[in-house]
Amino acid sequence: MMKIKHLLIRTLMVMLVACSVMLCGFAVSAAAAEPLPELTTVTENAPALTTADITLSQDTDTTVGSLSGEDGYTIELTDTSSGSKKSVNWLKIILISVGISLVITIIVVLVIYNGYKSNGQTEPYEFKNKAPLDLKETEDILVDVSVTSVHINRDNH
Amino acid sequence: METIAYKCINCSGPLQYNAQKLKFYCEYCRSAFTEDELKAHFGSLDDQLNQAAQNEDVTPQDVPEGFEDFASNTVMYTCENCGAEIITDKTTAATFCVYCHSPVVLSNRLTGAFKPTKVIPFKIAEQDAQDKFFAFCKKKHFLPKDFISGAQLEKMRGVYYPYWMVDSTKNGHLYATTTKIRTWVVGDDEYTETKTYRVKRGGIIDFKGFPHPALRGEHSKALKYVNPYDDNEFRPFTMAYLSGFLAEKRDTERQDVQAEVDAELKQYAEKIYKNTIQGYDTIRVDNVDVKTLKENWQYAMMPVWMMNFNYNGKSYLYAMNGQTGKNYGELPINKGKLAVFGIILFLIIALLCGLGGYLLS
Repeated sequence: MMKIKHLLIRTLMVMLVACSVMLCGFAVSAAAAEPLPELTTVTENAPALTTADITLSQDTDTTVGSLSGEDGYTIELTDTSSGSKKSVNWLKIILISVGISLVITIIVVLVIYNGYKSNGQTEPYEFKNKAPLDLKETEDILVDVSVTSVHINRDNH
Repeated sequence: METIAYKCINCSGPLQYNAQKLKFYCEYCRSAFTEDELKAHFGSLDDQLNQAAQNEDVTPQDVPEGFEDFASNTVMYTCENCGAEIITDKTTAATFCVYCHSPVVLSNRLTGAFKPTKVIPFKIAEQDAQDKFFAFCKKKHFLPKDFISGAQLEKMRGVYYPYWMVDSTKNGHLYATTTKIRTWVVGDDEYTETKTYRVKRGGIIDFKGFPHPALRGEHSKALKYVNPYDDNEFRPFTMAYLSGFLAEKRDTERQDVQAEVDAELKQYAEKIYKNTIQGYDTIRVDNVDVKTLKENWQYAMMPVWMMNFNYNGKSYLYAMNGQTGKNYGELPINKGKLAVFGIILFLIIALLCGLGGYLLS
């Protein structure tokens, strides 16, 4: 029974650590990712094009193809579906990872360091039990009343 | 200096007070005696000691030039068991002979003006104290290698330390400024009303059994924070309780610590008065004044398990309340091991965060 209990506790701790790391990963990825510029297309006086005019690009990072028309113009096509890749800033990922790791490590080391001290945190004199008070004077006098107000900005989009 | 060794009635072996049995115990024949039994056999135990102290000439004689300080701060005693002559410092009241390990009580250290009024006998035996220390050290992976060893645990000593026990009746007042804060919202405006009060509390506080260490030095902080003791277990002082343990005599008088005690009691008075101020959002104490109406000081001996150890040139202290087991102290840390652990932890977390960031991006 004890072994099962220990096993459950350890499993919960591992899951907790994994979730924490996942959350850190989300934070890192959200901070490091850069959105691509919005697609602009020219539709005015655009000629009718067929699929034969479509040439697939070898560079799949930014474009999926281009359309070449008779007048020599080129329209860049970009995949705007929700599954599109975002560019990753490695430097930001590393810096944020190092920052998070440093903070966690410092906290853990400080907790360990304090665990090696026993400073008698409980009160050395139990004054609540050993020092009874015979209260003779109580005075509560209202000396001032002030009212302040703050306007709440409510943005309506 | 004459010493007293409490001897077994059956075999004349040295008697020591046993915290588990709460009796005086002979290690040789394993007999156990209560205080009343010893008194019935030997008469008043302290009368013997007082007589020995009166008969002794404590005037230092023939002290070589340049050794006056040494002579005034040390004392030589003769072990009743083996006859060895041992030198100890001026505050030691009970100790063990370093040759035959018999417990000895130094005759004139705790007599007259230095005789304590009461004592709390040891309730935690040596083995239990070692077990508690071991439990404190358990799962501490950064202790120096071989720290928890038999040799280390042997350094733990049961010591009776001197305390001033103060009963003080004080009359005082506390003056404070308090506020009550209320907020509400009307339309797009949030209103905050702050009511400020001037508060006064006054009354008589009866402090009972306030302990203050009567020994200066590196141990004074530990002696303060191993408190509190259970005052219900105080017993009238008799030297026999010191047998089997070390004991220290006080080196401070009432006038030396009066100011410190007054300051601490004033702090407690402020807490007590402040606890009576209820129902406010903020409390700021402006002034506290306290006057002493009456005071009574008693001198008591309290049990502490003490251990000193050195590591990397630094001295560490561990103290345990010999009655309740409350501990105070610091353990040494192997900083190299901790640094390596920190670096590995840092690298693992950084790697996981980076990997998570890449995979989730």
